[in-house]
Amino acid sequence: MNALSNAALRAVQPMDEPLLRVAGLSKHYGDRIGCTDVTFDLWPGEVVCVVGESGSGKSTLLNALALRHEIDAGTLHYRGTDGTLHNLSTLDEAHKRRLLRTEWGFVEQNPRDGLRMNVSAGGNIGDRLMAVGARHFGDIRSKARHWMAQVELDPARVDDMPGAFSGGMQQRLQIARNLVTEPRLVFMDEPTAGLDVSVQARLLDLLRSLVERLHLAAIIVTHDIGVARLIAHRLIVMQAGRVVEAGLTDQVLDDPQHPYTQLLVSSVLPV
Amino acid sequence: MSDAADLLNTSRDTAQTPSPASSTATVEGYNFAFLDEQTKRMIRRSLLKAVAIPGYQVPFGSREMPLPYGWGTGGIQVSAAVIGANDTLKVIDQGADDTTNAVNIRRFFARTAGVATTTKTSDATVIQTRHRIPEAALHEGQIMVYQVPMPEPLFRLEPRIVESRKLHALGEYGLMRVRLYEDIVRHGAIATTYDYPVIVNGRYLTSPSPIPKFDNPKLHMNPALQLFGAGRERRLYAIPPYTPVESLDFDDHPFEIQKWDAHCALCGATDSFLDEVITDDAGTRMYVCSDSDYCGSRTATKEVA
Amino acid sequence: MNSGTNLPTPAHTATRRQESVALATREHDVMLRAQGLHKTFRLHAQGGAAIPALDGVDLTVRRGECVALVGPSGSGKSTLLRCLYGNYLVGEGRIEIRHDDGHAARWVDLTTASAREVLSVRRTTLGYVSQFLRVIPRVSTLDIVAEPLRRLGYDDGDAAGRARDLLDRLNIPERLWSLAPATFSGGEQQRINIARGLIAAAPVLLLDEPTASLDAQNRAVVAQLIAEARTAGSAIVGIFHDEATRDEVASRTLTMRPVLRPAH
Repeated sequence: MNALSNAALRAVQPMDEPLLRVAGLSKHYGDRIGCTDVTFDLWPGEVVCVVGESGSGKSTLLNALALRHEIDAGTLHYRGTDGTLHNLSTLDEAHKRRLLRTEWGFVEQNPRDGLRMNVSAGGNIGDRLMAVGARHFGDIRSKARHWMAQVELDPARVDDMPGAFSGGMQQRLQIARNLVTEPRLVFMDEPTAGLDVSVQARLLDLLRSLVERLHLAAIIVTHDIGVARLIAHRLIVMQAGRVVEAGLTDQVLDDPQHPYTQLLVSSVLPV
Repeated sequence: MSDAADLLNTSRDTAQTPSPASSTATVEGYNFAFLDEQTKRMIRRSLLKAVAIPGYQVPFGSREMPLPYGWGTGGIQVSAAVIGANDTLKVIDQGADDTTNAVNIRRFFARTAGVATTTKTSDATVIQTRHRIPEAALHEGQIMVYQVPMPEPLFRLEPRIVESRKLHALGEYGLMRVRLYEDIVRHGAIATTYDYPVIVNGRYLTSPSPIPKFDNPKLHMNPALQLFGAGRERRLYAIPPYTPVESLDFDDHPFEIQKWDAHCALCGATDSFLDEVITDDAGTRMYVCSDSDYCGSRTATKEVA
Repeated sequence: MNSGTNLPTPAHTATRRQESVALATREHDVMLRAQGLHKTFRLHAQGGAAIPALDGVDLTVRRGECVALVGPSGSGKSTLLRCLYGNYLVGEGRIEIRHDDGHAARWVDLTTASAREVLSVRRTTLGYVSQFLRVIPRVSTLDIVAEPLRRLGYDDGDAAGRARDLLDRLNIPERLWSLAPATFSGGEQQRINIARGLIAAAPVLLLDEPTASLDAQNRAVVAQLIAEARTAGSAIVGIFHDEATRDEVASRTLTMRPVLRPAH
């Protein structure tokens, strides 16, 4: 089956319902607020960036959404492929892990956290396929090569170890590893942090085109407004654990209302 | 030296010929088969659990045995728990009845349980083994006891016990398949030749103990009860009779057993696991059946014929 | 179409009278209807200073019309345009666009629409040509211009073909088509911007100084393109610094004045 066929189908028959519904989500660390009272919907094929500085609660939010933390208040619902809305708080461990391995993806900030460093590039990409029962070595390897090409890595390097790739390439490898099961929703934690500027630009552009072609929904945490401007449809601005402003990306960046948003936007050094 | 050490020590009567049960031969001061009855009950309870969940590792209270870890304490405890006065015991190590460990363990049970012992596979009711399954087919009513050094097949891939337990609980074995994938990438074929991972009863990933992959097919639908004991790691597991056991592989790299271009130099067998024996300093080698009983009975048949 | 309690300035009154007359006869041609727009910028970094920008603007645009916003610098022309695109928020008022999403035509009020709806309107109905080309790294000039058509589902080949035609008319040399425009001159970037903005013939077009930094020949081409868009039925609102182009393309004007005192 053509690797893009699912995505193509999705683009042609878009869901008229939200993919993810977040209502009043809060996560505390004892007395400290991690994030509080976050509410938004995410639609299929939509990219939402959560921006804020250190301590804003954006990473806490991302981890709570990706079911890595238990939430203290609020609800989280996800619409499965069958169209039914699942309450993620009541999902058992087995289903959670399966969801994270098939319909969802998570791109870690540091690619070494999201890759098996002692497994070849092909093994890393084929990992999720093998986890859901793929049994044909040749198929797995050729799918791995296909996805390496999709993320602009040389497929001839399918047997190389991740350590042999540069940081930017490792990040792309991590993205391929996540995309191989054609997820509908991908979480990304500062995907361009720590990369050289030119590498960042290339990666961002890759993400932009992948998101469009594969009709991916994505929630991307970043402190870099330029990232948001380039690939996000919507923007959520967080400060001290709260959402202070949200809306259309260009509107929030060009006509910020909240004092913190205005500060963020005006702080970006002009190129 | 303690009595226990004496039991395993160098007294030169090797049991080459089957010896009958004899209550007068058992050592004073020890319970039947060395372990106390409560301990045997504890082990049997764990074994029942193991049989009820084929391939699942059941923890048990492994006892101090009169030999160090790594020498078969787990296997001995299992045998001690299931063996009865009317049983006939065979012990092999690397397929042979006459290697040091096999001899000592057989004598241990002869002295503490007074049971009959044998080298003939078909005559035994309990067979304790290290690293091989006999060539002769087993039948119903027999119990195979395997000595297991490391019961956790995921150990090298996921050393965290909490995490590997979760993987077993959820049946998530992609990690092992990735390892086999890497083997094929690096060596062109799956490189594991012993302790080859299997899926028992379609559910649990299990280590069959360090038997050569040549023996893996024998695990499948075996009429005998197969019990596995790991003393140091304190785990038991079981494969009940007639349980499906499948060796992991890929559709385009199917599981294959070892083959030799040679035959046994003693009995002529072409279908058994062969050991390579270097006979002189010039490097002359010959191939001999690893299973001494199998080889011996074939040779005996040939001589008779 | 009343303007609320504020007294309209003379210039606005004249325009509105024209509009009321026209409305009675051509309601179904209305593509954009903005009413009672107020906007005040609040700069929190400057101690919460309130800068009023729009003070009760009304605007109705029909198919084939091109309304030129005129007025001195600081009179809110650019602000109004950005509000009409949903790029700026309004404090008060409504902005309704006649939007056909492929199923049916309906009115969408940009001031209350969700982000998704605004994006949907922008995808097929509402176009905006800004003064500056937003350069996406690594995307070639040809792809930048062809993209709006591809988004609408046009075949790759067709989209590229039309992009080439447009770039040709706007005198962008062919050797530049496969390059990303980051290193091009201001004038070249502006023309690529226009090509991208006009290629899909959006029903409602907002043009912010489309002829800035263009020479006379290229200004003429742009004026031609705008005329063609009008003929095709687009409703256009534009800011034209260059009077000659404005006189050529505009069907009427809307004069704006800076708001002298804070509205609220």
